[in-house]
Amino acid sequence: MDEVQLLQRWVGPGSDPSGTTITIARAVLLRTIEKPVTRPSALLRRARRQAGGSLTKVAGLAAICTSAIMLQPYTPLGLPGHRALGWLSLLLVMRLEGGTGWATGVGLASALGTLAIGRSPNGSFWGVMQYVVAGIGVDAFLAARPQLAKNPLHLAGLGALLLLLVGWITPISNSFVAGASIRGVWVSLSSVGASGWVRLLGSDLGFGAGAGVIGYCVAWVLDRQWRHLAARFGIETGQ
Amino acid sequence: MSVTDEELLLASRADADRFGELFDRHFATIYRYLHRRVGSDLADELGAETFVRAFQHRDSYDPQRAPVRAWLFGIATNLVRRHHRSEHRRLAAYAKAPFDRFQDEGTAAIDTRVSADALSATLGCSLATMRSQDRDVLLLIAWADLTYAEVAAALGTPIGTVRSRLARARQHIRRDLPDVNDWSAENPTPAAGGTKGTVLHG
Repeated sequence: MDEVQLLQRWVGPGSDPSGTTITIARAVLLRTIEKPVTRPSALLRRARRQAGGSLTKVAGLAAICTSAIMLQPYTPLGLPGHRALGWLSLLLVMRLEGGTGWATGVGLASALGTLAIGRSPNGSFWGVMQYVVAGIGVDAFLAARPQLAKNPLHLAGLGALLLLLVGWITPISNSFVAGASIRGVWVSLSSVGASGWVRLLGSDLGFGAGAGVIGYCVAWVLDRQWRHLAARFGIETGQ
Repeated sequence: MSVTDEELLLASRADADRFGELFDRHFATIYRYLHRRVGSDLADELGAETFVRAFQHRDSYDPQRAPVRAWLFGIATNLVRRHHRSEHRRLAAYAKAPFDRFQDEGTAAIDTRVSADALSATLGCSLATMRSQDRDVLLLIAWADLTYAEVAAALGTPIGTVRSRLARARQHIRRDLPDVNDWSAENPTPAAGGTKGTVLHG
């Protein structure tokens, strides 16, 4: 006899519910069914379905990611795009955990929040536009090719491509904010030597790919640990 | 052709009254599982709450992820977790009850009865001290008759995790009851070693 059989014999076949139990339970259910409830909007229901039934989880995660992006420190590394390991990977986590729209939402909230607390790279609106554009990019690419989300290497490619596209927003906007003309910016760009271009592009590609892999890994860990954490802290999981 | 549970649940999104059919199909099964885990008083309450919650969350149900039956057991198991003290009291009650199912009332020798009661106490203690995640998996298989895949769907975990949790739960029981495999209906006294006879206090 194995453990399962032993347990089955230990407690016996189990008791059937009495007629009273069934009647009361049915009455409780009917009261819920008949109660005029305010159904959540179609948008909310869709968001909940996308989030795997738990909006609490995704909303909490969005708040954490937004705060983390807003407060991400500036390090003196001097490597172009290295901060994307933080903010871009968090946008990817939001898309993987919450579904379409969450990366854009968090990107927008982070941009506004960063501006509000005065931590924009150059203090202007354009300095934080990369969060918004990258958020839109993450949502758009993964909506068009959802299978990219299943492979960390594909996400690394997506991260590299996105950072390559948006990594230019801050330096170019910095130049315009500082009063440079289009011609001046062009001259500045064309004067960058080959080694400079290799360093710039290499950094963007490398850090973007790194952000993709980190985003995938964080989402993977969250998926595996979420129910355990929810049970521990008594958070509603949607089941 | 009869309507499947999944079709019924999806239909209940538009016509709420159809959810009642799911209640009729599954209430007794869910109740029996809850009754074994938390006893009759709480099973009455949690059985009703399981279906209320299922109804309230029917919009988030995804038929690709879990069959309705497994989904309902998942909800019931989540509710049991919030009442772990009641579950421990229930296990204590099992542990104190004589383990008569292994013996022929008329012929059981005194030493057989003593061993059987000791096994009951040890089994109760073993279940109570096991990790709750492992206990959920073991009891969904033993008391709800779910398959590994259904347990995985019910708990929202990969099937590999279910296997490893079940292995850990079995190991835990075997550690407390080293001669568990020697037990049978015909031979209620272990061949050697005996049980520890640990007493579980409710």
